[in-house]
Amino acid sequence: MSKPKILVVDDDPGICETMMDILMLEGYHVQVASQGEEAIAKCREEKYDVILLDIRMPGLDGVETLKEIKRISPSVRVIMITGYEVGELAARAMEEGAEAVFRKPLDVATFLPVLLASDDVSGIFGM
Amino acid sequence: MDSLRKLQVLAAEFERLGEQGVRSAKEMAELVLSLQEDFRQLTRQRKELSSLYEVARDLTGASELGCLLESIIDKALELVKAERGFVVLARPEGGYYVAAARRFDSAALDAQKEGFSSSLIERVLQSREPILTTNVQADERFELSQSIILQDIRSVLAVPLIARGELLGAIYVDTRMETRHFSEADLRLLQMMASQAAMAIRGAKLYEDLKESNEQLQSTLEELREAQEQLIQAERLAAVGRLAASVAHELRSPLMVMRNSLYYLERLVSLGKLDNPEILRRYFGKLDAEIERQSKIINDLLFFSRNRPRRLSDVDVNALLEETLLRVSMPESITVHKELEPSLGPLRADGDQLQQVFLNLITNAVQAMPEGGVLTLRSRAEEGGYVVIEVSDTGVGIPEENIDKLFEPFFTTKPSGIGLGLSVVQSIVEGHKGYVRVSSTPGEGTTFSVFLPLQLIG
Repeated sequence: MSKPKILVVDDDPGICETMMDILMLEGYHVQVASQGEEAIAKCREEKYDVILLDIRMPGLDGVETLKEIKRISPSVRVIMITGYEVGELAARAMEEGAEAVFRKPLDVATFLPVLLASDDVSGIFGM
Repeated sequence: MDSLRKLQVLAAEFERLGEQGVRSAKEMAELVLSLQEDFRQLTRQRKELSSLYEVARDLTGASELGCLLESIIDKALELVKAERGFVVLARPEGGYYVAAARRFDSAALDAQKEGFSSSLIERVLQSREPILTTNVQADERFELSQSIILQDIRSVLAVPLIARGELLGAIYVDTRMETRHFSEADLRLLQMMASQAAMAIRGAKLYEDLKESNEQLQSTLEELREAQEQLIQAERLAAVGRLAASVAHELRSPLMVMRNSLYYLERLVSLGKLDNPEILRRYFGKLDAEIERQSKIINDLLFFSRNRPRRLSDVDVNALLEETLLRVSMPESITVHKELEPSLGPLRADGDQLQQVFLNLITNAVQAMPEGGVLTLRSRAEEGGYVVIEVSDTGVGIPEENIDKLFEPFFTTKPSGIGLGLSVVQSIVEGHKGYVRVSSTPGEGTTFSVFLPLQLIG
């Protein structure tokens, strides 16, 4: 089974850069986007297996971006990351089809198995 | 015949006397007696008028209704030399009550209302006409009520209190003395006094109404103020909540970068792939920058949570700018340009606070240029004894509608950031008796100018 193609979306360049390093080390194909609009544009061009999406970003917020991405590509797995307490936004993200919501700071050791799971592992992590 | 006419007649008589020599002494005596009577009457009228004037003057002086009514009954008794008396006032909802009494037992008055007052006071109130009786016992209007018989009342005067057509109540006075019966003149006098008293009562009532509505306004105002306090308190709590949420968010992103970095480095070690010192150097720099980022957030917060006294020293502004620049992780896409005035003397200031100012301005400038650009730092001396420090970027610029809000605490246009940076800048600069100016063109860039006085007083 080939390793999935991943898009990391976060307005924090440090997060994009480190996630990219970590995932590439594991052999994933990784691309990054700093804004929701950029992520949507990339989804139109390329088919990703997994999208790691920050819940709050400048411009289009995470949940709006999620809706648009799911419209373009309904089968894509979307994992949300939030810097806030899990509340309404996280619940909405799950309703809109996010597979899981992780709170920052993300524990990669917990996160990677979710990424590798062939079946959907639905839930809210790191709370 | 009035007095003047009589005098004229008298003068004519004297003339005729001179002419005729003879005149009836009897006629003359009659005329003189009549004149004497006129003078007595005039004197009495003058006395009445002057006591009425006094009453009017005293009544207009009292503005509190209770005092006024006491004063009215006293004056009424005095004016007509009555023995006892009381004032009744009509209630707004109908009926009346004894508002002031002299030599009457108020409780007894109220108890007697049915028998006594209903037969007399109510007649006055209903007819709006005064009543004078010199022999109560024989007056069929009173149907010999119990109290009249028991108290042996001889003479009664009662007049309505009417002001501008409105019936306010009545004044009642009586006497039990055989020697003192009221006259028509007493009635006139009391009526005149009553009209003055009625105006004064009306004024006092208006004043009390005004006072009452003023008190109501006051208590409404008090309620409003309380509600406002609660709102402010709620708003403050909401602000604390928002602040906590944004601080949590702000700290979690750098924490995530740090945790990711540690995970990555650990993974490299366990895979035996940590063979590139460049990677290590890059990651150490990253960790350092994230620590700096968190420490800046904490410093901004602390600045607001406690008022540390300024620690003044002689600060080399240019050196401080250079030192601050080293603390900021500068992306390669940004070129730093320096125009620092070398002859700038030392500035009396709090170095730590000033560094916080420079750090916040430089960090903002870097964040305003995500695609890269030129960061310019300037220092110069300005006429009027000011040192000016400028931080310019060639970034996105600030829309005009946001310029005024820039220095408000918690105002931010950035998705990351708690919105305290510029607020801290302004507080520190103003604490140094200086000021901050900003000029910005959207799409071209922004310049923040900090003006600090060379002579810091206080």
